[in-house]
Amino acid sequence: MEKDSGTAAAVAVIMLLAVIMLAAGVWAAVVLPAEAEEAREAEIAQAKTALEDTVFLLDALSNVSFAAETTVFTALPAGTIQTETLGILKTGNGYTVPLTSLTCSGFGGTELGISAGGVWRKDGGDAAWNLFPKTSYETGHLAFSLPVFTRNVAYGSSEMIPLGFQYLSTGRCEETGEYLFLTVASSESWVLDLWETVFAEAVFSAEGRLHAEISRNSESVQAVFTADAGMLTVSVEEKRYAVFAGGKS
Amino acid sequence: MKEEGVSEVLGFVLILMTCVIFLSLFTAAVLPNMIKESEMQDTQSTFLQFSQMKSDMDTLCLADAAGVRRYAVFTESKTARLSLSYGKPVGVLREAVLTYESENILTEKLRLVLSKDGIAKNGRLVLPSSCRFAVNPADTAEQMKTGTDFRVEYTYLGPVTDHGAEWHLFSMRIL
Repeated sequence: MEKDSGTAAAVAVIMLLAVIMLAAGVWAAVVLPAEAEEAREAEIAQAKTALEDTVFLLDALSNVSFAAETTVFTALPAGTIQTETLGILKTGNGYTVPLTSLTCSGFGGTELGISAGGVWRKDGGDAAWNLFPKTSYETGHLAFSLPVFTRNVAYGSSEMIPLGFQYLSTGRCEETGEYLFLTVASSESWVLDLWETVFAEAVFSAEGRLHAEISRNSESVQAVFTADAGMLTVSVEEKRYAVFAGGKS
Repeated sequence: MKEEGVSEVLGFVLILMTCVIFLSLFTAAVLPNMIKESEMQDTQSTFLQFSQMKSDMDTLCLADAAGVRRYAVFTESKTARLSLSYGKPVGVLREAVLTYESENILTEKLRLVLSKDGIAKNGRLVLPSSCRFAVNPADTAEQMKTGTDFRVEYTYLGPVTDHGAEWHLFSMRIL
């Protein structure tokens, strides 16, 4: 009887400890990672909104007559940003536009960026547009408008990142013909994935009046455009901006 | 028999002490860091919301989108104060000054001011201005709200020139 009482007490203590350890284990294994993931997604959502706002701000800036005298300022969430060149866009007559990106990282394995006037997101090796680059098609005229960042910036902060954009100039190329092609060359396959969808989206948004034959290899993706109207004009507008990070200009 | 009883009490006291030590360590070391981190995240989040509102107002001005009404939503985890006050006179209009204030437990209190100069955080200008915002006292009163959820409604009315400087007229309400 006395021996049983002692054993029961020991078992109770061990069981109590086991329950506490189990609860702590479940919390550490399930709740903590879920909370961390939720916080990371919230940060990504904030960065995505900030980047989309930046695209709209740049678009508005490039359309005003006094753009050259104006610098606009905005802020991005904590992390790192850098400007980089992801590849080039080449027209049929040889005009090339660098496909620059303002890339934000610091959200685990996820990166976000502004490129070609759209906002992309990359998780590991997979990338998708959160906001498509601006293309338009009207009566035989397909237009692309691509912001290009001309200044190299690399900046990191554990607080927010102040950014300034100064409009510099616009370059423009126009080509007319029955078959017009655009080529994007890049060493990164996810960039080619993104551009494959840009070309497909341009056709889709033209509601059947524009057609494209899209081909792809390991280094480039090419679209050969034709239009129901017969002759087609493709214009590529390159809007150049200088970027300043950290409040310096 | 007596010794067994003492051993049980001792075991219980030891477990209790372990729990108390664990809780004390958590309260002394981990909890302040968690509170500090949460306050820093709140500060960043509020600043970004403020900055996004400014960017959107800049976009409306640059796009000359007169008549367009927009909202900025601020959701806070603690009580804060948001006010709209008049700054510098701009003819019959007044400079719009939007101030956000919140107290923190472990980090410095947050004071954000959106004025003609840009956004200042605790008295230091961190995001310069692209456009200068003004309001008309006839349709936008000075206002203040205390709480955890704020909505700022702003309508762009058009550009105004005062002594050679360009301002942008807004109608604003804190809801």
